[in-house]
Amino acid sequence: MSLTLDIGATGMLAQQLNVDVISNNIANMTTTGYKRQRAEFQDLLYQTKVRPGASSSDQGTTVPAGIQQGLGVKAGSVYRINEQGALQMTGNPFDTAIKGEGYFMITLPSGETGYTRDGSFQLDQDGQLVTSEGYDVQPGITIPPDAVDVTINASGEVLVKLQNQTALTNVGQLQLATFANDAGLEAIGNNLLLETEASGTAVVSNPGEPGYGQIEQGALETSNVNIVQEITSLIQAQRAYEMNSKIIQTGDEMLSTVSNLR
Amino acid sequence: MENISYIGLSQQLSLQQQMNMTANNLANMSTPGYRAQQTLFSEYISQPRGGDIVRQANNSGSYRNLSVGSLTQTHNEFDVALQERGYFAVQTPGGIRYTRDGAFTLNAERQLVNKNGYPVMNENNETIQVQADATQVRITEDGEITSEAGTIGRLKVVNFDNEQDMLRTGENLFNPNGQAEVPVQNVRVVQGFTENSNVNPVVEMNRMIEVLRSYQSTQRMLQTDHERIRTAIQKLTQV
Repeated sequence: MSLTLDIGATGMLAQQLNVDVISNNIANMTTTGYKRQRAEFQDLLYQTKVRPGASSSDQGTTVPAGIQQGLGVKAGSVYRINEQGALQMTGNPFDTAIKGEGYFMITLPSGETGYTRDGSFQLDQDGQLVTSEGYDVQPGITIPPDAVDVTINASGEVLVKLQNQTALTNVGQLQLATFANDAGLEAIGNNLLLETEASGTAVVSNPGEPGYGQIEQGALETSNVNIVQEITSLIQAQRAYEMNSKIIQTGDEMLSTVSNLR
Repeated sequence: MENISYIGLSQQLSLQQQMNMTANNLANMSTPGYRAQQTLFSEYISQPRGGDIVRQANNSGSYRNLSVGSLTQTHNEFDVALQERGYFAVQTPGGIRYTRDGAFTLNAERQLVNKNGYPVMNENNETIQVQADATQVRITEDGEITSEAGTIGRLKVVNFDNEQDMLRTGENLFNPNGQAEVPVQNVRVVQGFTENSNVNPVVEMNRMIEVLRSYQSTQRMLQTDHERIRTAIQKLTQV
């Protein structure tokens, strides 16, 4: 009997996780480069009470369908959906967006390389291109102080126009990293992701190469959260949560019936 | 003399079983590709024979609702759903298992795997390798995976003669229980969708109330019988 209570509890836990994931998506609706997440569920193990195909007589007849009692539900995975977000024009020369596959590479304070789709870069006191946290963008790009205009083209070349010069000077090249399995990257907050065993190693190349996105200067990639979809999922998750709590209530009522039996 | 108690007991046992299954259906309401399960034995119990024969409820059976669930759009390029009956095949350590949960992804070696990391099989029972230069992956209605770099492979979609006979092993997987694969004639794969479970919450909630009320009325029956025996003993000893 307590099986009903346990199964109801796994259902409530699963829906709780679902609501958590949805609320994180809604909270990050306006986070630059955020990729929405989705919780995916799987059924738990089964207790086989009567095996399908078990013999039911000595005449060779078999049970057409056995009895397998499931033990509830578990969270299978929470995965990112790497659909392209919309581009929002900002006009800021150091704002860059990736149209297509790839991640910018960032040197973290720990020395590790972080990966991000958030291209809202700025300059630090030395003229070096950094993220909004002040972490260096790889490979290092320094804008000379006498530059009057900065152009980042679709293939990631950073060109500056120096004072009293007509030709543009190339001061660096932005590069992008791709992974076999984007969903396997580990999110560490601040719009940053880390390479893991599941993602595969980073393959670095210039933007615009086959399989790599292009750079759009003066634009940022918005999150790919679709608010209508999220609210609908939230309603569904809440109702599912309620129904699972009803299961627990009913199981409890049946138990109290038993204890009133005598 | 105690037949009524035995009949009541067997009904309560079967109702508990039914309640457990209903609970499992509701818990898996948002599990992709889940098939609602229903017990068969309440009908056996509702017409118990009189006399000395008391039907035990335990070995009757259960069946799965095999109808295709609704689809949810995920926009994920490796999420696929089947619009007809049939199963995808995945290679697990225990052998090939079958699933209707098509939320696939690539692993670090660029193999198509399910969410447990088990490789998805193509029609020749091989793993599906997506080349590094494959962009714009398209999965056509008949399960053919193509990209700008060319054809990658074709998803294996099969069915079985007796789907009810298949064993569930958890993790949305089915063990065919010794049955041979039957090719599916009209494969209809849709990309960017996952199939929802086919649990109907209204039916399940209704069944839950029904089970609870039957349980309570059986309890009343048992109590009435208990009273009857007590009265009989009292009356007989008053001589």
